[in-house]
Amino acid sequence: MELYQETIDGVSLVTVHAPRIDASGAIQFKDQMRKFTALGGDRIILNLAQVNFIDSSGLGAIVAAMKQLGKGQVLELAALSPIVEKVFRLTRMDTIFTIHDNVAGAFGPVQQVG
Amino acid sequence: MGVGVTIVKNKDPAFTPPDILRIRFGHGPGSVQNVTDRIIASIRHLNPSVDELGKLEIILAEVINNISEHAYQNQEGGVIEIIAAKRDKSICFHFIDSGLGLPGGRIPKHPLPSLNRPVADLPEGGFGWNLIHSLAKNIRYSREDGENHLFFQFFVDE
Repeated sequence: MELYQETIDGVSLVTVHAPRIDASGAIQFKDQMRKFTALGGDRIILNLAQVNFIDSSGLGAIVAAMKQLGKGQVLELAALSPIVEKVFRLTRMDTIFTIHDNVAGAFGPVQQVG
Repeated sequence: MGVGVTIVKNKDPAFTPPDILRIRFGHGPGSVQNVTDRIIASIRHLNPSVDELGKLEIILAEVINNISEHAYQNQEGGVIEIIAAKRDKSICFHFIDSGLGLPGGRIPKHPLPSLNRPVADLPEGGFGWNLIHSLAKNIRYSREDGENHLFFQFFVDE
C-alpha cells in the first residue's frame, strides 16, 4: 500500500494509492499514517478516492490513525466510494469523522488561489 | 494455494439443488479478494445490483478474516470451504473450517460499542460481527467433529 503526503496551503493531504484498505494492509497503513501525522499540520485530509473497498480491519486502522494525532490535529476524510461509505455508516463511524464528498470540497474556498 | 471451484449436488437438505458453487482454499494474503471475486462472478446471473455486490463483499471479507484471524490464529494455509447455494431470491452460504471454535460456542452478538466517548477511547475493533449481523440474515453456527460450520443467508433482491 502506498500513501502520498503533500502539503497544500498548510493542509496535509494524504492520498491512499491502493484499491483496498483491509486486514493485509492495516498495519502498514497505520505506520505510514503515524509518520505523516508527525510531519505536523493541524488539518490532515485523507483522500480515499482510489479506495473501493475497506473491511473492519481497515476501518480500525483509520480510527487508530485518528487516535495517534497530535494535540490540535484533526483527521478528515474525503472521496469515499459507496462501499467504503456503507462500512462507515453501518458502524456509525460516519458520525466521528468529518467526511467530504471530494478533495476539492475538503479544501473549500482555501483552494481558490488567485 | 489456488482456488478450486466445482459444481456439486450437496446432500445437506438445507442446500437444495442446484448448488451454485463449492470452493476450498488455504487462506493467506490475497485469498479474501480472490475468493470474493469468484463468488461474485458466480452470482452475476442473478443480476445483483452494485450495492448488493458491495454488501456481499463486506460480509465475505469479514467472515473469511474472522476465520483466518481467530479460528486459524493467522497461521496461513488453514483450509476454508465455502458452499453457496441459490434459494429463491437469496443465496445460502455455508462456511466450514477446522480451526478453533468460537468462544463460548456461539456467535458474538455484542452491540456496536458506544462512540460517545473521547477519541482516545474509540474502538479500533469489534466491527466485524456487527457488519455481518447488519448485512446477512439467518446466521447460525455449530461446532461438529472439530469443525466450525457457519451458515447465513444473503438476499439479492430486498
